[in-house]
Amino acid sequence: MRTLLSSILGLIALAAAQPAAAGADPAPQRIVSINLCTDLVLLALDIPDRIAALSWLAADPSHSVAAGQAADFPLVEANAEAVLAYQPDLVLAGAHVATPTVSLLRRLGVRVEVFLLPDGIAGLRDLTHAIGRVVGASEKAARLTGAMTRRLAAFENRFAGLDADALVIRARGATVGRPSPEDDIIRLLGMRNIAARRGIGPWGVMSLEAIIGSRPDVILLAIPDPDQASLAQDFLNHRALGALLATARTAHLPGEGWSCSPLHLADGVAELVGHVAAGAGR
Amino acid sequence: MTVPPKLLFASECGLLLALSAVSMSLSASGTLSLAEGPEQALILWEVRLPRVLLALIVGGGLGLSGAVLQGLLRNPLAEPGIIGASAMAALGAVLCFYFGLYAVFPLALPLSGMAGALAAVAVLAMLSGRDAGTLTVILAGIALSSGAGALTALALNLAPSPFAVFEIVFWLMGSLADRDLGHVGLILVPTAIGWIMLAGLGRALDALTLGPDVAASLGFGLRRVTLSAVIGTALTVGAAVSVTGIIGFVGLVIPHLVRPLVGYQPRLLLPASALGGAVLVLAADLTVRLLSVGQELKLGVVTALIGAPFFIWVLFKTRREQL
Repeated sequence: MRTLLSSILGLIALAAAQPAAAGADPAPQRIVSINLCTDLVLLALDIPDRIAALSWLAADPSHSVAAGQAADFPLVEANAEAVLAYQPDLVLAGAHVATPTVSLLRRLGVRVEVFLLPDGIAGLRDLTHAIGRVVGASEKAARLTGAMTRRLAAFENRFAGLDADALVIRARGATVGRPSPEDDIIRLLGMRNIAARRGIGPWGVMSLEAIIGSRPDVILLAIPDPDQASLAQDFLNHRALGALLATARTAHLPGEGWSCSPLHLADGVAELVGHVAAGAGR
Repeated sequence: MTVPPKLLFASECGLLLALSAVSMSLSASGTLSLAEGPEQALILWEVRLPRVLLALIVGGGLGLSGAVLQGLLRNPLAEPGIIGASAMAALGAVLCFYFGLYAVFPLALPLSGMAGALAAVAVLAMLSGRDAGTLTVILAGIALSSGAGALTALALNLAPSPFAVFEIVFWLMGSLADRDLGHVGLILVPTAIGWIMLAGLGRALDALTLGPDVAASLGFGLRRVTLSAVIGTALTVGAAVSVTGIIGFVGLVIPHLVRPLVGYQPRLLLPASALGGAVLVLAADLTVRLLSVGQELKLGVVTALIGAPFFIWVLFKTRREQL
């Protein structure tokens, strides 16, 4: 009777142990990323031996702040056959982008993890942790976000003394409200975001009159590459804006993709702080 | 320059087989390889085969419906888009994107496209049934196209972010990339029904070349022929658009290229155009795969680049012949 009971208990213990053992999967060794944002986080996690390929945008300097680093890796286009050629055991993709590719890859039995693109600094922290968990580099992710948070904390309320209204200007009057990485940075530096005050979301437009009438003290220009964005540059040449740009403190926001790179975000903010602190005028 | 029909069909089928073979062997890096490695069967059957099958089905349907509409409307500038079914199918798909259904359930996209196409079929059936004038059909098509176009533009205008706009616009440009066997299965039944309705119109179109009254006296009522042609086209083309986006100019260009080869006979033109359409779409898709570096070159863009100059040439040719 006792041996029967103990063998039953032994079997139950064995069954209970199985899920725990199955849960300890080995970390993915051949990771392919087909989205710029996940590329940048993956590069920041510093696991080069386990990256099989990155998206072709990651090595494009006008789109990726880590283009030099990305150029050392094979680059892949976001179609199922090209991705399959690398025999990935994990594919990282962004939500709402290349959806037919993701569904075809899943249908073919490839593990695809889809991530929502971050809408702010907290979102980038969460994305870094989520990708870190999925690729088996959680400690590196934690160290990365810790370092980013510490460096950003050093800039906290740097410009609170200016009592400044700030406005982000993208091409042709487009501006950025809340929630967004730009808004997070404005508030971190102790300034107020004019667009957010007007209830504008992450993608919004303010008319030229509204921009001038709002009298921003600080203008943050989100125009990535002056050579390429000629329409956007034309907007800045508008005479009505001339006086505004002369009297406000202006700075360029860091290059494209910075809001997806935990490694480069703090550098970008440091550069921005330098330009704003330098004073008014173009 | 008439070619014996058997020779024509044999050459078109031969071209199709050759292009299909190349298409099945073309790897993502642009080399001809039947995919080495453990995922070989997977890539061949689940990635490349659906692409080839869709090119054949969509191209064939576009060529066939183009030939039927040009014969029915006795107008060399007619093409499947004028009856408005492709615009309505595109609208159905765009609404699926707009309301976020696509992110939740990928097959919702072609299903919404089919719903749009069926709505167009219903409207066209209502209008063609009562008054079978070809002018009414064209006007109904223009109304549907304009209405669908306006609503599509509205959806783009009110889209929540630039990424949503890109997603919709790039889908509309037409593509066969990364479609799977599920998509093929989805459009099989409506396409088959459409093809049956269209393929049976050969003799009726022959009779129509003698004028609608003579054709009616021969037993081919214009009302019935119009209904079959319009609904068959709406089903075929609507189903195609719901899976691939808008691929234009195939239905316009192919009947013109093939017509002299079949001696201007509508009955022979139908199968010849179907085969020709399949050849054109397959060849265009191969071009797309060879030329896409980085950003994907869209199939609809390639067919438009071929078709627009051709369209202009047809206009000039028609004007010259009318002098």
